[in-house]
Amino acid sequence: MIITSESIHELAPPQASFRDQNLSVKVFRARQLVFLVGVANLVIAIAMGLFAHDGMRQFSHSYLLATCFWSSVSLGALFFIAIQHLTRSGWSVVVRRIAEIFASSIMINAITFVPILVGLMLRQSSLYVWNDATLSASDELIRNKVPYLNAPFFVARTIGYFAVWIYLARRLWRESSQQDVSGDSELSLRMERLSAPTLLLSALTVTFAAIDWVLSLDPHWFSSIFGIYFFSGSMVAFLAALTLTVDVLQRRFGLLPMVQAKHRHDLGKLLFGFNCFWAYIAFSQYLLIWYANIPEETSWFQVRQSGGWGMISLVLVVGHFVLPFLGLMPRRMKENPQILVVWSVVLLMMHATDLYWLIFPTLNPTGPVFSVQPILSLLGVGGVYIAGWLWIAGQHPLLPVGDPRLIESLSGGH
Amino acid sequence: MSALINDLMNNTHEVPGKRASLVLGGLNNSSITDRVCEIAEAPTPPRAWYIAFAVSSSLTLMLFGLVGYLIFTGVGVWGNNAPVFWAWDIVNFVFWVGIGHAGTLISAILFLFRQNWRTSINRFAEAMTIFAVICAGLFPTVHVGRIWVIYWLLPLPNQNAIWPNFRSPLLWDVFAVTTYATVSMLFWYMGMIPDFATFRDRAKTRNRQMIFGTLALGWTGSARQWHRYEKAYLLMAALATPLVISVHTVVSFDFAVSQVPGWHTTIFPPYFVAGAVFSGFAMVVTLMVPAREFFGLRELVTLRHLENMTKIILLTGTMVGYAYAMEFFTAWYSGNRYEQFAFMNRAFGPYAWAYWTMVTCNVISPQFFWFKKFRTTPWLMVIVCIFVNIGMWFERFVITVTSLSRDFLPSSWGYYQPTFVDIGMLIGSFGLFFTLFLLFCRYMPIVAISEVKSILPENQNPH
Amino acid sequence: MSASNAITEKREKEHHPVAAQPALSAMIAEFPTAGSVLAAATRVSEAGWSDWDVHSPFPVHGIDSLLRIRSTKLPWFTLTAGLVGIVVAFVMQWWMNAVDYPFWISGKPFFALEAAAPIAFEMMILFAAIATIGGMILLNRLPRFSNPLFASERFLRATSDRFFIVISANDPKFDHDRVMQLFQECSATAIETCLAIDAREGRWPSLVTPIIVVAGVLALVPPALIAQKRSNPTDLPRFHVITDMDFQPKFKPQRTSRLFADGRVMRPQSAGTIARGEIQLDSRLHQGMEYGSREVAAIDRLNVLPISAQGGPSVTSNEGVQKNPMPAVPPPDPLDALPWVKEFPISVTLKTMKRGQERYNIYCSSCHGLAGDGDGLVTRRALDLEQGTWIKPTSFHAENVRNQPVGQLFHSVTNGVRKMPGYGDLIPVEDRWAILLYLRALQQSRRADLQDVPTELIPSLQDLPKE
Repeated sequence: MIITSESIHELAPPQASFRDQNLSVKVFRARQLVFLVGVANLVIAIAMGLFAHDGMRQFSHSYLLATCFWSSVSLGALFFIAIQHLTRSGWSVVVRRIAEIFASSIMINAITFVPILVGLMLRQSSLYVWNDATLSASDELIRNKVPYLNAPFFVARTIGYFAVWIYLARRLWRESSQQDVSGDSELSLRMERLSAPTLLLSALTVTFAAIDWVLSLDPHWFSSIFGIYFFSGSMVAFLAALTLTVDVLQRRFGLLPMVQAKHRHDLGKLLFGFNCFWAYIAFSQYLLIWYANIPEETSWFQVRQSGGWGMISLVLVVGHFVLPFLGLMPRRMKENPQILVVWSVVLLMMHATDLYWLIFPTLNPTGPVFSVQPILSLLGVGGVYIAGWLWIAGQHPLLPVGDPRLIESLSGGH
Repeated sequence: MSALINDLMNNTHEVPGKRASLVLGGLNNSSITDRVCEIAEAPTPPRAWYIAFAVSSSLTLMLFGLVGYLIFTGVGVWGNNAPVFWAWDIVNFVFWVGIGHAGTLISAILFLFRQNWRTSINRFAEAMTIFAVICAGLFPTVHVGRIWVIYWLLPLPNQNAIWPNFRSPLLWDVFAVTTYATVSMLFWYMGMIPDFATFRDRAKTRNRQMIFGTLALGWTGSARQWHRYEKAYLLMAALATPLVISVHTVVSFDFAVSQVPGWHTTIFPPYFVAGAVFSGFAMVVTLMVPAREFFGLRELVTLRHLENMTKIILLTGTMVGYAYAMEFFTAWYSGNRYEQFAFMNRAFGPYAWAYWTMVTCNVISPQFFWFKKFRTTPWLMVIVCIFVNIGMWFERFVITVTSLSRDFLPSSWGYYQPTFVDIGMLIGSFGLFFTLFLLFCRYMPIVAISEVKSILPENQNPH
Repeated sequence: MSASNAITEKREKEHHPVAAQPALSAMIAEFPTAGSVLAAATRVSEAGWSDWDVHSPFPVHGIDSLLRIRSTKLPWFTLTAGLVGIVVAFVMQWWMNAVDYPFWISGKPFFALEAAAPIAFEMMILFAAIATIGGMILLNRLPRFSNPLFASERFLRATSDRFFIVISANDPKFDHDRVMQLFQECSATAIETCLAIDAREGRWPSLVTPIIVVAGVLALVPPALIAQKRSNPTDLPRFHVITDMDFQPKFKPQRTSRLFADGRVMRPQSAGTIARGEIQLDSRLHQGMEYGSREVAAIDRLNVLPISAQGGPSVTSNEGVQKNPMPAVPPPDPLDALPWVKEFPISVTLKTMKRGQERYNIYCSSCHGLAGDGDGLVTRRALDLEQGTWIKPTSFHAENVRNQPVGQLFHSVTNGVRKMPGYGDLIPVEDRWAILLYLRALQQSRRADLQDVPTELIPSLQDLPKE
């Protein structure tokens, strides 16, 4: 099939947009449904927190897990878009709009983060021990960090991070959607120019967000690679989410038929590559601390290696690295939609497990305590997030129809 | 007139949706072959080659002389002494290994990312990798002092009936660097087989026929050969990619698994890899710019190639800057007094001059590449890249020497000063590097002829 | 382009008798572009030829399916070699560091996965890379230096700018005229025939064979020498190619030298030498005795009995010793007769007492116990092991110890007693006295009554629960 820029415009609306009459009703219903399910889950989780002993601590950790999880998906998307623009990538144009929707959904993450900030300011949240004035005064290490780890500065920083992300994501989104109409290739160059500062700013903000949100749960521990660790996990989560989304859109809604085996192959390669990168970063961090064997660093891994946490660590080694590594290596696996989706789901679950492994040992240092609250929170925040996602997705075509590199993407170029 | 030529030679203008031509001047299969082969077939190289070779080979002779002096006298001829037992030898080693990383990155990682612009520069960069690894290997080899028992580093039976300590990162380094040298050499050779066949088939003399005939192994370019060759190339790229990352990771382990403040920080592995790519690309640009002038390769190694490389330099340079910032932040955040001291000492201690040289060259100088003027003017790039190379050498110097000169025990603090042997061997290693490089340029296919042809628009699959 | 002009045909040897003519090996057709060779290959493929190939200066995509090339088995070479590399690396590291030559280093386990992983990774890559390139060369049946195609001048351009289709004479359908027709239909720019290689033409150059033979023989020399040496053990010292630091111009301890009149390498100190800061004039402080050191030395010479013989009966499993009847009353200890000081030669203050307590807990309590009952952790462990060589330290609360003058106790601390080593070298002299002060306090604590307790502490005393 010869594809020209005209034929894309004819082809795109029915196959790459939620605007179709039947579809928009279907999507509207789906949006309402996931939103309500999400809110219901959150309500149950809060109720469980209120009525159980020490339940609010459990809930606040679960809620942090859920927010970090869904935020990391959006952040991965922001990195992905910037990298695609900077490399003038052709192949990925066909999935770039989906990534842009994910990146724009960082707004939803900002909203879901508000309760954590409010709890922190009211000193009601039992999430961060450094927020406890008596403890931080008595502990010399924490006392030294108070200039950085204090509620007002934390809140200001987090607001700053979200402001940067929302600004960048919205600008990329706006220019990309303008191009849908105008098809102006100058916009591609503008997005490319915007992508370099995007990458730089995102790298810095994501690093400090990771330090603030997750690392500071144990204010004694520190690791300079931690920002990169969080970034690598986010990329894996986003690429898995992207693959899964494309598959759902194709299968459930009959959309985006133009995403084909060659694109899946490329997505699968990226997923494979970033998953290896995650393993590399995780192993580097572990090996250096294991080898130097300095108590103030090993204590963090000591908790995560003993008791039930040891099992979770093992699950991560096998489930987050070994199995996906073997499973995603052959080309056939990457091109087969069913298999690729299975690995995407596995990796999303593993990313959640990874965050659970990072966050929850501060709550249950002796070993993981099973609770449905983390799952309910993940689903709850997820419902809200997906509803917001669908709302954003409904605004523009699901394909950057005006991008001059779309033809190359459809015919499988660079 | 010259402006018109400049316009024709400038392919850095991006038109989204259209892929810019990576081979200019209307070169086709025949003229590409001629252009590259004539460099090696010419009866005499350009005069600049002779001058450069005279300089570099004298420096190499000086290096060999100093190595002999060191072996006959002992490693005491270096400035290494308590408390700085690791000094220029490890600094030079890490510096040269880092330089080598660009070659494998271009030939393997960019291949996996299907970056077609790699084809004109990969051979060149791979050769650089091998020569840089040779220079790197020299320093740990001679630093053992008694180099006649260097085989004790390897798991070989020896008269003492002992085995090497596999739990030591220094032994990991032995394995990583020898593996890297071997695999790079194999990869380089494999890439050259089709080009050796071209040389063989164009050979006019019996000697050239014999030499290149042997090296080409009887390659005929049949579809069946190409099929396996391409698969092998893909597999080698897939193997070399994690390898190149692992090599500088293991080099970073030499420092980071220890407990020395300023060395033990978890960001070291990715930070070292980024720094290695940074310095390697800077070296490729430094050498590529004069080489394309003297050997008439401006149509093959276009401004777009150079611009892409400067972008990678900017990216990796910024990553290195990020790592410096994270180290500093984490040193403060950790609350560890020793760590905090190590970093204050770097920035404001007796080696502050080295530290700020490093920051200026590594973090500030690549920022010029935000400007298109710097990315597309060859001589400007070379200047920036030379600064980058200076900065990256100083980075290793700062890491190694500042942390050792002032560690836990203030009574044994000291100030390291190099001797003339240290300085001479560093300069001499550049001589060795350039000598090998000049020989390569003179006698080998310095551009991957078959690969460049495969990206010509006229050779694309017409279906 | 006019086909008749471009097409040339080589039949140089046509006029030779058929018997002398080498067999036809293949027919080749030249094409100018990748597109034209692909079009021609499609026709050849459709015509059902089986033993043919396409030669190009770079890989032309789309040819593989026309030639029905099955996907190469090369990845299996890579995978297998990579796995072998991992296994070899792990087994090697485990065997060398944990089995054959285990040694402790920086508290690391002999074999740990973490520390073994980097080398396993490198060896995986090394093995896999060598197998990949070796496999590629092998599967391509290279090196092959003699090839009938090389006889064609025209074919030499296959590695620079021309494309060729080669139909082998081994193809069952092969027929010269049919192939010629096919190639002409494909509008080849040139057609040639290749003859099978004359055996003489395919020879190595004359020098190569002797070089290989000589190199092969020379290569056998080192292993032969090693084998010869290994099978002939010798008493001669090792042959030093490089002397390293094995022979240094220096004297080793306990050796002789003609340099000195007495032949001794180790030089005695000059008479009356006292190391700086080591002069010990105060016999009360440094020896715990009232007299000067001269008189004491004289007394010591009179009592030359080895101190170990004066100790109590040692527990031993040696039956021969046990059969000897023990003297009912041990001979009086000659040490008892010495003029020990009975007062502390240092100032007795609370600070000294605290210092003594601290030093006691560091140096003494591990064997003697925190309360001086002779039940320290080391003692208890030693007695648990029941090895029979441990002598339980005497309790400080025993009658004879309590009655010893403090100077004699100081002597025991400084020079040791029975199996206890002397601590004179380890503990500074003031600290030794401080320890003894604390020892006296410990002894006193067992015999104290209410008057010894400060009045303000009396209310806080309470009876221990009855057992």
